[in-house]
Amino acid sequence: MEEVIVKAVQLSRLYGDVRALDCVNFEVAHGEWISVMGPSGSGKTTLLNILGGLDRPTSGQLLINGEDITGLSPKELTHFRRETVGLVFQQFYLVPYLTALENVMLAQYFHSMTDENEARAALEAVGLGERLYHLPAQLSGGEQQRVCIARALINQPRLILADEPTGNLDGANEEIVLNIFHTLHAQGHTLIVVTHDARVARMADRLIVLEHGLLLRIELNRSNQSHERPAF
Amino acid sequence: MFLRILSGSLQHQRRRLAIAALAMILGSALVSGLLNLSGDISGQVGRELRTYGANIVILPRVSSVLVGSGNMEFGEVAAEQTLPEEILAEIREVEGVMGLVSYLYSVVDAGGEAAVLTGVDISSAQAINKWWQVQGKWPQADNEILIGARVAEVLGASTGNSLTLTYGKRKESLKVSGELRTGGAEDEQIIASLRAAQNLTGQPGQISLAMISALTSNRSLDAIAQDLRTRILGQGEVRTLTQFAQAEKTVLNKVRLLMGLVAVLVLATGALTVAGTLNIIVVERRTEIGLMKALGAQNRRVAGLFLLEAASIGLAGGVSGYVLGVALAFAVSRTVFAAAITLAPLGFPGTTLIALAVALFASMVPVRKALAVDPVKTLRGE
Repeated sequence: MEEVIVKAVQLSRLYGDVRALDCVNFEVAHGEWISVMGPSGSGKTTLLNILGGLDRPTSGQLLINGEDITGLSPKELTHFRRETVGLVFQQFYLVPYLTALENVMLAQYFHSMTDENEARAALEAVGLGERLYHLPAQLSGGEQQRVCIARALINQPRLILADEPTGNLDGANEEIVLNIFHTLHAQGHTLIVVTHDARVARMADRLIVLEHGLLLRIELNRSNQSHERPAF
Repeated sequence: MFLRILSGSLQHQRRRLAIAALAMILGSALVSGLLNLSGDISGQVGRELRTYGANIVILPRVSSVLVGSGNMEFGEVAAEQTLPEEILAEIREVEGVMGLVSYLYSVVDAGGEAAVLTGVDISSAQAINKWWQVQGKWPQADNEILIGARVAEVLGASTGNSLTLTYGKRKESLKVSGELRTGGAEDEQIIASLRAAQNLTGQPGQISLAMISALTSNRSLDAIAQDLRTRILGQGEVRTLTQFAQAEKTVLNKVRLLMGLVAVLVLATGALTVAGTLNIIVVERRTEIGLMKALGAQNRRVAGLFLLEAASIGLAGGVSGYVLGVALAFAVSRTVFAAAITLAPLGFPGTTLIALAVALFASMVPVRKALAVDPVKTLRGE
C-alpha cells in the first residue's frame, strides 16, 4: 500500500463569510505529483498555504506524515515548514542582496546549518552552476525560478509545494522548469503544484479541480487519460 | 551566514540607514561632548566662580589676655594676633586649593586720618579679585599703593599723589598708583604690598589672615577645610564661607541638569529618527521578512537581524559621535573657558553604550512590527 503523505479531512477555510475552502477531502501518496487547478478565487492558493503551514484551516483535519498540523502552535508550524515543506513561488521571492548561492544557503541557515558545497550542487542540479555568484537582478526569470526550486529542495523536504511556478516564465524557461519538476518526480519527490496551465496540469499524476472552495473532482492523468474518481 | 545577511542588508539599505546613523552621530556627539565637558565643566565653572572670591579663610587663633591691676581683674581682652607666613607653603599643597591671598591688616595714620592699611600680595589679589575696579594701575612696586574710593574722597588724594602713612614711630611715603572701587570694605582701605605693610608695621613674616580659593568640583569644601586644619596644626583657625560654597554648588547642579536635559532631548530625537527609519525599512522589507518566515525562520532570528541592524546604527553613531563630540568639547572649552579639557575616562564607553542602548530601544517597535508580519499576506502582495 502506498504511503499517504497528505490527508485532508473536511478541510475548510473561512474569511469572514467567504468560504475559501469548503469541506475539502483528498489524499496524496508519497512520490505523487498532484496539480491543483481552478479559476481565480477557487481556493487553490489557500489550499497550498494551509498545506505549507503558512495558514490554518478554520475547521477540519490536515494530516501530514500522519500528524495533524491544524493544532500546532505558531512555533511548531514554523518548525514544520522548516523541516517538511519546500516552497516554490510564482514571484520567486529571492533576497535581492544575496547571490544565487546565498539565497539557497538562506534556507539551509534557517533549517540547521549552511553547507556551501550542498548549495552549489543544488544549483548545479538545476543548471545554474555558472550563475552561483550572480545577484537575482542579474538573472533571468527562468534562472530566478530555478534558484527558487534549488532553495526549496536544499533541505530535502518531504513535500514540495509550488504556486504557479511557470506563471511568470516564457516558453523556453517553462520547459526547463517543467523538466526539473519531471526529474524530481522521477526521483520520488512528492509535488503539489497549483497551476492555471493545462500543460503543467497534464504532467501530474492526478489533478485536483477546485471551484468556489469546493473540490469539484480529482482526475487521474496517467497515460494521458483522464479518469474521474471519488475525492475521498 | 547571519553576518552575510546582515552586511548585505546594511549595504542594500545604506542610504536610509545613513540618515538614522547621522541622527545618532549628532546625538552621540552631544553626549560625548557633554560627558567630556561635564567631567571638566565643574572644574571650569568652579574656576570661573572662584575668581569672584574665596571660600575658606584662615585666621589667627584668638587668644585672650587677662588684664587687671593689683588684685582687681578687669576681664579678658583679645590680644592682637597674626599668623606666620610659613604656613602658606603648607596651605598651597592641599588638594583643591586653587589660590590664596594673605592679608595683613593694620590701622595707620594717613594724612592725619586713621585708615586701614591692607597688606596683600598684589598679584594674588589681582588674580583672585577680578571684579575689583582699579582706576589707574595696580601697584608695580613696594612703594606703590591703591587707595579705596572712600579713602581717596576723605583724604582728597588721587592717582599719582604721594601719601605718607604713619604707624607708631614708623613713617613711609608711598605713591598712589590707582583708585580702588569694589563696593565693599576695600573702598575704605589702603592697599599696599604685603612686604610694604609688614615693614611699615614692623611685623615681618606675619599675616592677619589668608583667604583661600578652593575648587570644590572634586572634593567637598569641608574635606578641604579639614585637610587645611591638619596641615596648619592649630596655628590658625580654618573657617569655610558656606554661603558662597552653597551658591556655587547650586550653580554647578543647575549647569549639570541643563546639560543632562539637552542630552536627553537630543538622544530622544535620535531615537525617533532611528525608529522611523527602521519602521520604513520593515515596511519595505515585508516581503523579505515574509519569505524568511515562510522558509521557517524563527522569530528570534528575524528579531536578531533587525536588532543587529539597529545595533550597527548605534555603534556607528556612537563611535563617530564620540570623535565629533571630543572635537566639540575642545572647541567649547577653548571658546567659553579659554582652557583645554581633560578627556573623561568613561567618555568613549559611555557614549558608545548610550548610543547602542538608544538605538536598540528605538528598534523595539519596528522589531515587533517585523515579527507581526504575516507571510501569507505579504507573499500574496497584500
